[in-house]
Amino acid sequence: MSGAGETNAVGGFRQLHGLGVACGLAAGVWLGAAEAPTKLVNSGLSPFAISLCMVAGVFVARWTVPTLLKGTRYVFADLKENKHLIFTAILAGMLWAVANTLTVFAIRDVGLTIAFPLWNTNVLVGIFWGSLLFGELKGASRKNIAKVLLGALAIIVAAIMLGFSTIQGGGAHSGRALQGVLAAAGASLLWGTMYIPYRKAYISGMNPLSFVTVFTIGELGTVLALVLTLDGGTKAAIFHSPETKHLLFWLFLGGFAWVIGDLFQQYAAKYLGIGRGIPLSNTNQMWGLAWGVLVFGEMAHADLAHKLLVAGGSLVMILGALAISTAVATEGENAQTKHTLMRECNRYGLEYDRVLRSYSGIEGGNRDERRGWWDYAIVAAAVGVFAYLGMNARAPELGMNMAWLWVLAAVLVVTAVGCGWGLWKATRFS
Amino acid sequence: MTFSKKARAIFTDSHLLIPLVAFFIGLALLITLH
Repeated sequence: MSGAGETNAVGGFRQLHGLGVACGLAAGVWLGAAEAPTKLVNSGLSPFAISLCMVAGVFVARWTVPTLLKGTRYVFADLKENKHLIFTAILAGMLWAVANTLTVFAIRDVGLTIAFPLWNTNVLVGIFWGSLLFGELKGASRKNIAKVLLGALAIIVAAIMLGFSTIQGGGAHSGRALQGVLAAAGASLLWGTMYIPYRKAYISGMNPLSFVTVFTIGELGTVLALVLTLDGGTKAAIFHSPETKHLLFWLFLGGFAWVIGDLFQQYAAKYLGIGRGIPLSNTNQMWGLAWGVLVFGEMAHADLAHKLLVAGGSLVMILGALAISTAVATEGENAQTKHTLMRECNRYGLEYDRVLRSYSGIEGGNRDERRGWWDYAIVAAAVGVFAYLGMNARAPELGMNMAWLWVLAAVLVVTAVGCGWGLWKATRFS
Repeated sequence: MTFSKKARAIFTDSHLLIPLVAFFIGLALLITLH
């Protein structure tokens, strides 16, 4: 993996295309799996409340994983060096939270059939910002531009096909079509724009682990604010229902899987750019469907047309991912990236060599990675929270295919270990 | 780099302003649709 990635090491610039592709695909696997535990939650809680519980799980995991991998001393030293990006990272979390809530409104008003394709165009929004603001694909060969654009389009089309395959009947509408379309378009705009802060952080030499640590504050704060303002305030059912503690474990588990997926997505955005990274991680649709179909038997009674949509959608998605995976940036595009790094350094008075090393995944400086007692306390507290929730968890009587569950769980472990090992070996999680 | 220069660099940076505008558009949309 690292060998495939290190195809270009000129003037301190090291290209990690192979590693970035592996991270993008691993992000798809884990983000898709994050949906699985939520299928065990059948509580009647509002989408706002479910989102809040999941984000609380995300918050716990987001502080734990960076602590495990690098230690809080390292994370805070990195944040101190990139103080000007702290608000940017919080803003990215806020964008995620608002976009996620907009999708709830979109589904309510126009149904998943129309809403899903609309917000999936966030890929195109991301490619647009990547090109306009960060010079992505500038200086690229025509072949590579075609591969990225057609690959992204193929992944959108495939996601639509997979989305349609899960819909039986037309889905109910509330007669608020325009509002629903606006909500879905808004989610697309926000989820596509959210990648600007991602990319901004990495062209400034920030570590993805520090970025997500701050990102989660914006995410949790905004979701909490939305529950308090739009979902009944302190009287919201989530704060009072005795059922909450029985289902929190599943939502926290979903949040945990989401954190691992998002971390890989961050590394994909760093080492591939957002134009290539977003479409690859959007393959999560295929994995989410795989969990639904293979483990929960969601298409057991589907007709041939729906089954063909799944097979065709999966194939188109794989071809799209393949096209993007093989679009390795050439020297012209790398020169543009160096120019972007230089512009950032001039603007904020950053040290170019440090930023270039960090961007290339080369751990520089003498940052303290020793773990303090508080690091162990954070990890122990997180494990304690999960153990406590696990002891109180109740699962509904759902027929699950345990053989497929183990197969997909094994895929998760293999991708996490493989990509984690690759990241450690090539970059020390830089 | 002085504090004021850095502050100006941050608050005139399109990489911050564009997401900020997008956030307020999204928030306005959310409040309108709720």
